[in-house]
Order: sequence, then structure tokens, then C-alpha cells
Amino acid sequence: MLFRPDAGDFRLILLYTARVVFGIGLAMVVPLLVCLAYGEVMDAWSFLLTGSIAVTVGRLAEMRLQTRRQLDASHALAAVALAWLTAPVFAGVPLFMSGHYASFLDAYFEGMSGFATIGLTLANDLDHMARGVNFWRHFMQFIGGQGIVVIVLTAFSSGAARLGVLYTGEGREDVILPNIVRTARFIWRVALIYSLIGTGLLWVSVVAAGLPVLDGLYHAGNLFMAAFDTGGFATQSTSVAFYRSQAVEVVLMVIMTAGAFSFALHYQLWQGRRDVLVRNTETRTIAVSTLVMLGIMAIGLVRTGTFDAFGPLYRHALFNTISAHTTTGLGTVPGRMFVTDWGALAPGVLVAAMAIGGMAGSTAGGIKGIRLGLILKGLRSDIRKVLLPENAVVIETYHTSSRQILRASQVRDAALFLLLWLVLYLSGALLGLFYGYPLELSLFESTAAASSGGLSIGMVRPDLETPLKVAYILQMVVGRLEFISIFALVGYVMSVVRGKV
Amino acid sequence: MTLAFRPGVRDLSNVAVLVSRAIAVVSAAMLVPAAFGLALGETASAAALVVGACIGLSLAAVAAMTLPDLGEIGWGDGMVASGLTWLFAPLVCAVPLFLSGHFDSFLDAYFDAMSGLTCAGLSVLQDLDHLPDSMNLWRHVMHFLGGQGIVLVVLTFFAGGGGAVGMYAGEGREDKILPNVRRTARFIWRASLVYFVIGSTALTIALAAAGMDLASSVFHAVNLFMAAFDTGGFSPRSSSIGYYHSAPVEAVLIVLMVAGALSFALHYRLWQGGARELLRNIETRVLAVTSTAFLVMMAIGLVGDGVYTDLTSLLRRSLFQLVSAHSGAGFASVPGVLFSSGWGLLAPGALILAMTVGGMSGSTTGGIKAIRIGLVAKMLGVISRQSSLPRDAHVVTSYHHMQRQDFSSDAARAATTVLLLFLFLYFSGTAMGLLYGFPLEESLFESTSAAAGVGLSVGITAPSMPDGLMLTYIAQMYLGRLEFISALALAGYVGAMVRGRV
Amino acid sequence: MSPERTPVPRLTVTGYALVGLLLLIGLIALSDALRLEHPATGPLTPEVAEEDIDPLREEVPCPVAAGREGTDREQATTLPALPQEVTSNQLYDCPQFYDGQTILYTGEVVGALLARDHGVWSQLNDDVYGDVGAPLPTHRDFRGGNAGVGVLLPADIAATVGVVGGPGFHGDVLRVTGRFQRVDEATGEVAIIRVASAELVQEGRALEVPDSPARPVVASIAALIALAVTVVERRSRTRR
Repeated sequence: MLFRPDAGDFRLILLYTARVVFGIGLAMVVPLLVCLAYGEVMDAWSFLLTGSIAVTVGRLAEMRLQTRRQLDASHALAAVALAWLTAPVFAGVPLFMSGHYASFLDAYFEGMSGFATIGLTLANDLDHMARGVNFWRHFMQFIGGQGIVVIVLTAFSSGAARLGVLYTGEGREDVILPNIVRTARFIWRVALIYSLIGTGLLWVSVVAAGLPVLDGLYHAGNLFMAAFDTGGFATQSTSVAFYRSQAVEVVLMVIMTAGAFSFALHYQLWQGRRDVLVRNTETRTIAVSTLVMLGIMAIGLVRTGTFDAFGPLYRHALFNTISAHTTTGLGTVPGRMFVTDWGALAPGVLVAAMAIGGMAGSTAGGIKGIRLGLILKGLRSDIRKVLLPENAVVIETYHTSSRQILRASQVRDAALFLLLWLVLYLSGALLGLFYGYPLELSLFESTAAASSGGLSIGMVRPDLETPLKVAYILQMVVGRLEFISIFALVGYVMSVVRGKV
Repeated sequence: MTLAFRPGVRDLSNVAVLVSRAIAVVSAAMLVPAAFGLALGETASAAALVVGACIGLSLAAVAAMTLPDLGEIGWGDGMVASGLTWLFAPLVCAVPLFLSGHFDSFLDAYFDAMSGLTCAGLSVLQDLDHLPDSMNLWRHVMHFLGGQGIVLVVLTFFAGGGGAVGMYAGEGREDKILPNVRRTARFIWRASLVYFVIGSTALTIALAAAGMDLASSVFHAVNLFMAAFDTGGFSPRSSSIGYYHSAPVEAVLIVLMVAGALSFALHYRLWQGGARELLRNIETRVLAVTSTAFLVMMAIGLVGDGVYTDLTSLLRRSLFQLVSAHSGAGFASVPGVLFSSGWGLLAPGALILAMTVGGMSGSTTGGIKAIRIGLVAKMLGVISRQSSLPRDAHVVTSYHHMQRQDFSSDAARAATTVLLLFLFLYFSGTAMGLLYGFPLEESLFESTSAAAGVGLSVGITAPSMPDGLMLTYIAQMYLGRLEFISALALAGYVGAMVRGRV
Repeated sequence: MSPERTPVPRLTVTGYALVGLLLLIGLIALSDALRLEHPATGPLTPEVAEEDIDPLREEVPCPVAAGREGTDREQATTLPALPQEVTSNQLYDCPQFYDGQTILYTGEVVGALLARDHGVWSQLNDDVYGDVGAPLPTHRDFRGGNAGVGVLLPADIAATVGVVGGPGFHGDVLRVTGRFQRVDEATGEVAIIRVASAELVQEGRALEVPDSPARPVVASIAALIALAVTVVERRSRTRR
């Protein structure tokens, strides 16, 4: 039984979508200023143009779409999905007009990749791209990354305690507005402080690597946004390898790891509760999984003989594992070398690491540590149930901000989401196979797109087949919104088509 | 937190009695091919089989003499016993295989025995075409023993039990087709025998029509029947079904494989004349959808790569391979190397997906099983509908499996967990393949084939394969066959004993 | 559900959806109309010769096989007497073969010159943008992403580099002789060339980017409209 939505529903969804567009328009002031600072006049005009249109849309919506209907969860979810589909159109306009994108679809892809903090790029000749435009690519990651955290912490879950475990069933709270403001304020404050520290550290290290001081600031700012928001764009086509500096890589690893921490965890750390780092189920899961991945990768690389010495092995294996596991996508190795020099196991590990991803409630994508942890705990309790007499009560607990009792419905939801993720990864890979790419490549790129991993093995390039581009765009947005928003949007569409009164 | 109570002496002896009984059955079964060998005058091979039977029977006799009588069996004991049986029975079964001289090492023989009992069908036997007939028969009898055995285990332990055990079958007690083990077993054997007579006769006719003399036709038909109906996948000749070059043989085998992939609960219903069940059952529906989808995918791949140009050979090859993969039988009508080198990418991909899914629960097939796929799909439907509805709306749905059943999220959860475990098993085996330097496509294919008990091979499984990989595939066949729960229970049991806490 | 719900007719919804879609398409069309005014034919036409093999779909045959798990790495046994002219794609396709070989490579200096104790790091791009000397956005002849190799230049060679390529600049094109290192032992860097000698093939220059005369006009109008709408909206809000 579906109800057809009424005008109030539409007004609400469109209003919130328009507010997001308005925000994007305002944000374009920043790249506009960067363009002006570097004297890139033509690009400055395109930011002014797009920003103005976005602001106009936002203000018009504010005037025309006011309604008395209460915002409930399904509105919020549908609005999020719609906003995530619309925003890249606006973001893509200045990119397209910069002359580095062959078609608007490519620019849209780039916009989606930016907002969803993926890191796959379709830019032609990135090394000659205007600084303002390049800055906008990175800035999109910052907006999208912090934006998704606000959304996850508020719309998807009710408060920090339940964080991202359950998006359905009891986890939904219908009144979400009061939370948003407070959560958003905390997130932006934290992000700003981290920005200052992180950019500062990066600035020092890239200048030490040999960049001029002012260029260094530009690079450091962009790198910070790409790393902290686990985005993965880079100012140069060679990504982090450009800097040829271990110091830069170390700082980036710290920032990426911080970016993959959930904001709930950040919040607790800020309150001085350092013990949660050790006791939290999610940190434990991620820590174990990272170590396992690193171990397997090292075994693989040793067996292929890629690195003779321990130093380079450790350096590249660690950086790429962390980059993949946090779903950032910065790289120290040319993507093609994964195929031609890293054997099969090491790239396989990168795929697995990207697939698992970071923590729920962070900018990282992928399945998320908490789901994996809950499923493993659920499995443990199942085994105990089998072995114990039937009247025994088995209680399993897990730890997020406090010790909590594991409920069957949580395990079920976690397992189901894990499954959805796998289906998402595999369906993209299947389409890649269909276009004749080998399994390694199509699986790698499909996982990179869906999990927001963003490491590329070379398949995503401007002359990628259009259906694959579209498929990756879909994977990016579905993965970023963790299915549920998309379901809500599709649900609205379905209810218009099929719904009864 | 302890994982479990520490098992007492009573539990241990119960488990040991159960395991020794299973071994006695398996050993006694060796006498059948031994007698056949004597009749044919293959004395060496018959002697090997008798030696194996003696070892197994004396072990069982010792156990019977020293151990107390079977006490009351809990679900945990039953689980652990079936977990242990599937580890030890192949040891005994491997003895005659090893003595036959067609295996490099005992590990190779154990691999084949595990593959036989789990109905996988991968083989590292050398020079199959010169193997004595009686030993060849033994390989296929292992399929029959293992296949009928697992059906019994699934229908009684997995499905019938209460608590967590029952959930693992996907849904619950209704699957217990007859009130108790003994009657269930009796039905299974009766049904199998009837199918055996019909199937072997049909195969004999088809083989004779293909130009074989009557005696070999009967021998091949019996072996092929056991391999097909129990979705095993061994075959009397090294070139598998390609050896016969006969479309009628392939057609009969397709029917047998499909029959083998149907659950015994469904067979029971069909025997009672409930043909409508076939249309309404969630498992049949899932399988109809998946096999159609994979067949289309295969056809697109094969046509796109220009492998087959005429419709007849395209249909014949792809249909047979697909049914063989989907049902977990693992016969090949084309050389396996083709899958990695000559069939492009989509067609082997479709085969892998088909192997992953497998047949129905409560049959001899491996893989995830249709009921789980169906339940998970239902679950997804529920969740996506719920997300666009207001919070207090409750979506209720139902499905048909033997009878109309309300969709319970517990069943869906269990299905999802097992499905994920299967995927993990497939991927970890693939990683081991990669570790030994095999390409991704081939590793994935072979690993899926082992874990889902299919037995199609792209050539990694060979006598020369690394021992580590062989052990991996053995473990995969074992875990996949027992659908994890027995094996996990066994691990928990051992863990509890080692840690020694109450 | 509240009783006062009056669902919107399907036709209306479809109508609004179409209008919304048209507006978005209009936006895209506008951005297309305001692209930089490039000549119809790019400087790169006629076509650059296509490669025979698609390295993404097919195995590139290398004289020495790539490393695989569990096998010893082959070393190139018959090395050519003279340094071979290579492209970056060849290096990445067969890194094991070129490992340690002295090679000849031509590319545009891009990014920056990073001076360290052991030399100066830079990047030489041999893609069409660098090689032919036509970086974007001076034309519309899109040829994909960048391709290049990291190089370690001796300080004296680095000192001769006049223009470093980047936004607005086409860098010096250098033809270098040096040793390709799959993994450089001293620095741990992957896939680099240790340059021994270099010659300047083409001097760098500032780019002449064509502009789009209509863009400032349209942008100014849009900005004015945005301002006006904002003011009107604010007024209407205070009135309410």
C-alpha cells in the first residue's frame, strides 16, 4: 500500500534540495577568490555565473516553496538523494567551462566524484589545469565530506550513540532538525581546527620537500581536503608520488586515518576519553583488518619480488593500504604498475581494503567497520547458541560509546547492508567485464567507485565508455548515500507512479 | 565470556560413537566395489578396497567395544559429530584410493576422497583413463554416500532442530519432511533407489545409442547416475562428458542434475502429487530467475566473442555447462581450459555466479542455496519499501515454501549470515590462489568450484598443484559442504575444551 | 496518514519534473554555449597513430615477464647497446624489462622542481599535451589524462630548466638519457628515471588561452539577478 505524496511532500523535498544548491552557490565564492588571486579571469567569471544561478535557484525556492508540513525522515532522505544528484550539475558547470573536460557528463562525473569524496577523475591534462578550478575539485570534497557526516549523524541515525548502525527500523527519529544544527556546529568546528593543524603540517612538509612557500600553501590546502575528507583528488596527475617525500606521506597517513574516524569518536576523544580508542568495537575491527590487509599485501609483494628492500616495501604497502582502507585514494605508485608489477594478491588486498572502508559517521565509504564487527560478534553468539543447551541465554555485547547489548536485528541489518555493498561492487564489475575489461581491472575500479576508495588502476580515464561512466556515477552516489536515501527517493517516484490515494 | 560449556565425558563419548558408526557405514560400502572388482578379476584393486574396509570396520569395532552406549544426544553433540565425521570419513575412504597407486601422496588421495564425499568433483587423480573399474566405481559410490548422507544431516540436524541450528537452514522446522530421522532416511533411500533405477536405465539406453557396448554402458550409466543425481561431478573418463560426444547423454544428465538439485522435501511433495508446489515454491522461482539470467549472460558473452556461431551448439554447450555449474554437479562437456582461454569473460563469469548460488537447500548441491537468495531478496524488498513509508507502517510479506509462510526477519538474518560466510569462503580461497601466482579469474573460478562443491576446473586443480592450495581447497569443500555451522560448532567445542572453562 | 492529504495529480508531477529537467538541461546548454572559443580543429589533428594493442584489455607482450607471486623475477639478458627511445606507457607496461636500463626519454617538465640533497625531483610528461606542446585549455582536442615519469635531475641540469609546466605555462621539453628504476633503492621511489644528461628540445612558454567574450556579460547579468532575487526574498521574509 503506497500513498501518493501531496504538494507538501514535494515542496519539502524540493526546498531542502534547493537549500543545498544555494549552499553550493555560496561556496563558489571561495574558488572565485582563488581564481582572482591567481589571475584566472575566465574561470572566475564561470564561478560567478554558476554561483549566481545557484543562489537564484535557492532564493526563489525559499520564496515559493514554503510549507507548513513537518519534515520527517523520508522527506529528508529523499531530499538528500535528490540534492546529491543535482549538486554535481552545478559543480560541473565551471569544470566543464574550464576546458579540461570533453563532455558535460565527464564534468558531472568529476562533480559527483568530488562531492562523494571518491577521487576518480576524468580530467584531461590535469597538470595544466587552472589553479582555481583545481582548487574547486578539492573544495567539493570538503563540502561533500563534511556534508555527508552531518547527514549520517543526524538524518540517518538518532544521535551519536546509535551511530550509523541502523538506518532502518527503530533507528529512525522523525524530528531531526534540532540535532542537525548542534551536530553540524561541532563537525565544522572540529573540521576547521583539524584543517589548521593539518594544513600547517602539510605546508611545512611540502616546503621541506622543495616546493616554494606560496605554492606549498596551495598544495597543502588541497592535499588536506583530499586526505581529511578521504577524497583522493590530487593537484597533480601523479598524486602523492609527485612530492617524492616520505615526510609528506607520513603526515598524509595521519590525516587520512583521522578522516576515517567517526565524528562520534572524535567527539569522545575531544572530551578526553582516550580509552574508547581501544575499547570501541569499530576501531578494533578496523585495526585488525588493517593489520591483516597489510600482512597479506606484504606477503604478496614479497612473493612477486616487487621490492627487494624492507624500506620501500613497508613505505608503499603501508601508504597504499591506509589510503585504500580509509577509502581516500591518494597513491604513491602509478596505477598501471599495480597491474604490471604488483602481482595479483596485492591489488586484491587493495580491493578488499577499499571494500571494507572506514568507520560509520566519517567521510570514509565502504561497508564500514562497525558492520563487520557486529556481524562477527553475531556469528560468535550463533556458535555459542548451537553449543549451549537450548535454555541457555546468550548475550553478546559491543562497544561504541558505551558497552551495549547486541541485538539480533542489528546483526541482521549490518549483514544485509554488507550484502548490498557486495552486490553494488559486483554489479559494476560485471558491467566492466561486459565491456571487455579483465576481472582485476573492472573489480578494482568498480570497488573504487562504489566504496569511494578512488584508487585507480587505469581504467577510469576520459575515453572510458559512456555506460560505464554512468554506472560508476550511480555506484558513487548509491555507495555514498548507503542505499537508504536512494531507496527513499525511488520510493517517492514509485508512489507517484503506482500509489493509491 | 566462555564460548561454550566445557563438554563432559558423556558428550565426548556420544560424539565418538556417532562418528564411528558413520565410519562403519562408509567402510562397509567399500565392500560393494570390492566385490565388483573380484567379479571382474581386478584383484589388486579389490584387495586395496578390502584393506580400506578392514581398517575402517576394525576402528569402528574398537570404538563399539570400548565406548559406552549412545546416551541422549544434544544438538551440539550432533553438530560436532557431523563436523568430525566429514573430516574422518575421507581418511578411511582415501586408503583404497591411495593404495591404487594413482595418487602421488596420501594428501592427494585425501583430496579426492573429500571431493567425493562432499560431492565436489574436483580430482587430482593421475591417469584416470587407466584406473581399474572397481576403483572407479568406488569414487562414484563416495558421491552417493556423501550425497545421501548430507541430505540426511541437513534434513535432521540443520532443519529440524530448535534454536540457532534450525535457523541455519533458512527457515525452520517445517522442512523436517517426516517426523523423525529414521523415517526421513527411509524416504530418502527409497526415493534415491527409484531414481537410480529410472536414471541408470535411461543413461544406459542413451549410452548404448551413442555406440557403447551394453556392459560398459551399464557401468558408465551407474557411475554417471551417482555423479549426476548426487551433483558430484566425478566421471569415469578424464574428458568428463565430452568423452561421449552425445547430445542424448547430455540431455539425460541435465534432467538428472536438475532432479539432484531439487530438495528432498520438494521430491516428497511431488511424489505425493503436489505438482503445484513446483510453481509456487520460492526456491524453484529463484532458480528459474537465476538460471535464465545466467544463461542469457553466457549467451551474450559467447556470441559477443564469436565462440559459437550456430544456435544449436551454442545452446547445447551453454545449457549443459550452466546446469552443471548451477546444480553443483560439475560435469564438463568442453575442456576446462576453454573457460579461462577460449570463452571470453562473461561466460565464465556467469558460470562462477551460477556456482556461487547453487541449488536448493536439502539437496546434495553446494553453494549458497536458493532459499537464502530468496529470503535475502525478500528482505531487501521489505527494507526498500519501508524506507519510503512512515515510521509506524509495517511491511508484512510472505513466501511459499512447502506451505505459505510469513516472512520472519530471523530467518532472513540467518540466511544473510550464511550467504556472507559463503562469499568470504569464495574470496579467501581466491586469495590463496593469487598467493600461488594464479591469475584472478582462474583462482576465483577454482575457489568457487571447490567451496560450492561444483567440481568444474580451469586447470588449477592438478596433481602438481602446491600442497598449500590443495589443503585450502580441501578446507573449502569441507566448510562449504557443512554450511559452516557444524564446522564452527566443532571449532567452538574444541576451543571450549582447550580453554577448559565451564 | 492525515485525512487532509490531497495527492498531486500525476500529470502535474510529470509536468513539473519535465520543467525541472529542462531547466537543468538549459543550464548545461548555457555552459556549453559559454565554453572558451577554440578553433574547430585542434592543433593535434590529424590523428595521432593509435596503438596496436589496448593495454587495458589485452596483455602487453613484454620481453621479460612481469613478476608474479611465487616465481623468481627474470632479468633482461640481452640489453640493447644503445639507449632505447621509450615512452612512459612502455615503461609502465613492462617495468621489469626496463628496470636498470639506460633509456632515452622526452617529456615536458611539469609541476615543480623539488630540490633535495640527492638531486632535483621533477616530472616529465610525454603525453600529447606535453610533447606536441599544446596543453589544455588552449584547444578542444581532448586526449585523456596525463602520462609521464618522475625524474631525478642532477642539480646542474635542473638549473638550466627555464619554464616549469603548469597552469598557464607549457614547460621546457627535455630529452633525457638516464637509468630507469622500477624501484629506486636509494630513495625508495617507484618508477623513476635517474637522469644522466639532458638536452633542451623545446623552450617553455606562457599559454595563450582563447577566451569566451560572452561569459563575463552573462555572468554579470546572472549575478545581478541573484542579487535582486536575494533582496526581494529578504524583503518578503521581513514582511512576513
